[in-house]
Order: sequence, then C-alpha cells, then structure tokens
Amino acid sequence: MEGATGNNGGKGEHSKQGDSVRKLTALVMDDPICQRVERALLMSLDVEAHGVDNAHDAFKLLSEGRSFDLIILCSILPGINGFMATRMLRAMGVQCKILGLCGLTVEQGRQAFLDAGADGYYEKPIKAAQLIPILKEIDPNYQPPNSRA
Amino acid sequence: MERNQLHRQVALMRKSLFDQWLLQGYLDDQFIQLEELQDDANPNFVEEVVTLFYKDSSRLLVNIDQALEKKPLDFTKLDGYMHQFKGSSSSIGAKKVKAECTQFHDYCRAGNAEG
Repeated sequence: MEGATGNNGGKGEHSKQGDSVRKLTALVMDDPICQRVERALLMSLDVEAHGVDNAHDAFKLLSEGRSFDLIILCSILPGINGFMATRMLRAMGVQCKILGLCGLTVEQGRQAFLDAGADGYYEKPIKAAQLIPILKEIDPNYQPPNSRA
Repeated sequence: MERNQLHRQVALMRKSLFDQWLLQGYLDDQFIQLEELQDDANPNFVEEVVTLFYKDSSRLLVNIDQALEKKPLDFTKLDGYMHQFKGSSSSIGAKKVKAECTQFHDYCRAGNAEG
C-alpha cells in the first residue's frame, strides 16, 4: 500500500467560479478505496484533497510544515487508530476542523471521537451535503461549485 | 476508429450491468454519486474504484476466512476486517455487501457476548 499520495491528477482550476482567493485544502486519512472516493468528492467540491492511508504519514506531512483546512480520518487505520490519531493531532497543535468517519456503529464511537477533539463524526460514505456546511464554517466565502453538466 | 467503438461498447455494457445491479438492489445511491464524480479530469473513476474494491475485498475475504479458522475466534480482528469491508462497500454503494457485513458484525457481537 502506498503512503502519502499527492494531488489528484486533475491539477488546475475547473473554473467554476474562481472568486475564492485560495482553495481549501483537506487531508484524508483512510484506506485506499475510501480515500479515493472521499478525495474525489472533496475535489468535486473544489477542495484540494491529499490522502494518506495511515496516521504516521499524516504526522510526517504535518511536521514538514504542511497544513490543511480540514482533516478527515477513518476510525480504523493501520497502526495508530483514528481515535488516537485525533488526540495526537490536537496535542500537536493542529487546530483545523477534524472529522471522524466510521464504517460501522457510528453511535458507539461518536462521543469518544468528539472528546478526543474531533468536530464531527459520520458514518461512511460521507456526503456533499454533510461537507458543505463544514466548508462554509471554515471559510464563510466558500461556495460549492455548480453541478457539472 | 475501431478501438473507440470497442471502448464505447464496453462502456455501454458496463452501464447496463450497473443499471441491472441498481434495479436489483445490489447497488444504492452512493454508486450514482460515484458516477457523478466521474468527469474529464477523472474519466475512469468508477472503473478504478470498483477494480480497487474487487482486489481489496478479495484480500479481505481471504483474511476473514483465515481468521475464521482460528480457535478461539478473534472477534476483535474479525470486527476490524468487517469494519473495513463495510466502509469500502458503503463508499462504492455496494448495498447488498454492506448489509451482509452488518449482519456478520451482528453475529460477531452476539458470538463475542457468548464467548
């Protein structure tokens, strides 16, 4: 399995409405399949989405000075799990929005995740309708792009 | 050109197959979302994700089979596999697989309670 992956190949604006000065950025921490889907969804919402499949690689990126407007992570990750990773991210001083995702039993982990410092906890698959309000909280000027033809 | 024709035909066949699966309840709304995420920047998105899913689920199923051979059953490990399987099947809209995973998970929890 690969570690950190870069941008999706479709670099450059889709020129929907380039009013925002800067695109929002997100880091997705999840297994390759879910990551692919989540990143594509974020890209379709005009968010630059990077992906890693484990917490270690995420910490590495952050310690190299990368920063993100949003971090989305699965509760189950190889090595350090999502719950611990959330606590560690906050301990590292990461202040951006953090969303936890789970494949099963969302209610079970919800409070623990929120206590660990997450801003939200959702059952997969996360939807655009759930992400858009959060993106607007992050950037009041954020507008979701028009739907594609 | 012949190749383009063949590509188009494969695309039509795939679409029919997926439409069938949607009708029969094998796929759900999430699959339609995937199709909507496919565009010029990601022209083969659906195919890539589905292929990844097949490969990954084969691997997971082998792991689950092996885990089921162990005595006593390691429910935590099984739970982890199920969690992953449900997560990925939910992400691609594999509705029936997701339902089966939930069922399996429920059995595991019941089994764990007994064990």
